[in-house]
Amino acid sequence: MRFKLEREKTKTTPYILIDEEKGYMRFEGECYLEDIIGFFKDINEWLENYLSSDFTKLTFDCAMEYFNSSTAKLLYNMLRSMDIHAKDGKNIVVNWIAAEDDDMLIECGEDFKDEMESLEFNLIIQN
Amino acid sequence: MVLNMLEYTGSLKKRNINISYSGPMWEDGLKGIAEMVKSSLSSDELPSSAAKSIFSVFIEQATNMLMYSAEKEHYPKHDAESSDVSTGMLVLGHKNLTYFIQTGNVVKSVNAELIKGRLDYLNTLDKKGIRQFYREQMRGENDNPESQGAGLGFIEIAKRATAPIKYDFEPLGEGLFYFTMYVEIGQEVA
Repeated sequence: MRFKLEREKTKTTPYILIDEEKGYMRFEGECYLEDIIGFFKDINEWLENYLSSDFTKLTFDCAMEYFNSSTAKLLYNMLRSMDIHAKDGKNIVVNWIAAEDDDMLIECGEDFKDEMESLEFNLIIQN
Repeated sequence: MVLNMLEYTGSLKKRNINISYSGPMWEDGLKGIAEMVKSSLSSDELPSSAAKSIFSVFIEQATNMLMYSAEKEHYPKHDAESSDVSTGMLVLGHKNLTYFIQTGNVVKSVNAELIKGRLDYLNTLDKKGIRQFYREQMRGENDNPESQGAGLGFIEIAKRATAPIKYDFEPLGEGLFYFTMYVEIGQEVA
């Protein structure tokens, strides 16, 4: 059974879509004032399992609008995990989607991109 | 004794304070205040990136208070398992386009030293240095779930602040301090 998860967004938690069959994950919205570790527990578990499996590709669209520093750390750790597996030759693509006037998100995307060694990290700036 | 509300609200206004909260704080409770702050900022006709910067400082300061406040009140109805919630004070205001967020809460001396060290260090860095430090801290392996964000909150605040962070620790005795933190976020003049 391929894993599938879709979670509606709330004011303080993002929309989540994971479609293992398509090798696709998407986060969209905001994340703050939450039990971040609890919220992302199943997502993290799936990601770790998927990354250690014999998968063919993973595309991660990160279209967050705002997140707090704990969420930043969590996203960073996810990206690091992906980067390690990309180093082993796995096909992993991250699309960091930010609005053109969103300096905070663009800066964060630039810094994250810079920290990654093997990952295909696209900074997509939308107007 | 009845508090003179007109005088009280007048003194807040005189100090350019728009939102003021004092009392118990927990994550779910703060969501309502955060919502109010967000709407208030969006009605202030700021560029959306500036509003987001101010909101971000507000969230990180509120989260720090949850984390470090040593003054707890007992709220039996809140949560059966953790009915002791942090208490503190939070104000937000602005004079023209310069916003400020100030918090006040009781901290233990061990945390007072930790926070003071962190703020003193951050105040020595320029914007480039803060961004660099943020990345270093992000990289550092700190998987202790107790320290979610691993001090990143203070760095995030320093990133957005447009003046050195002001703070004060007033000794209360018995190893406790009243910690006040003042952060200013001004707009760049185009």
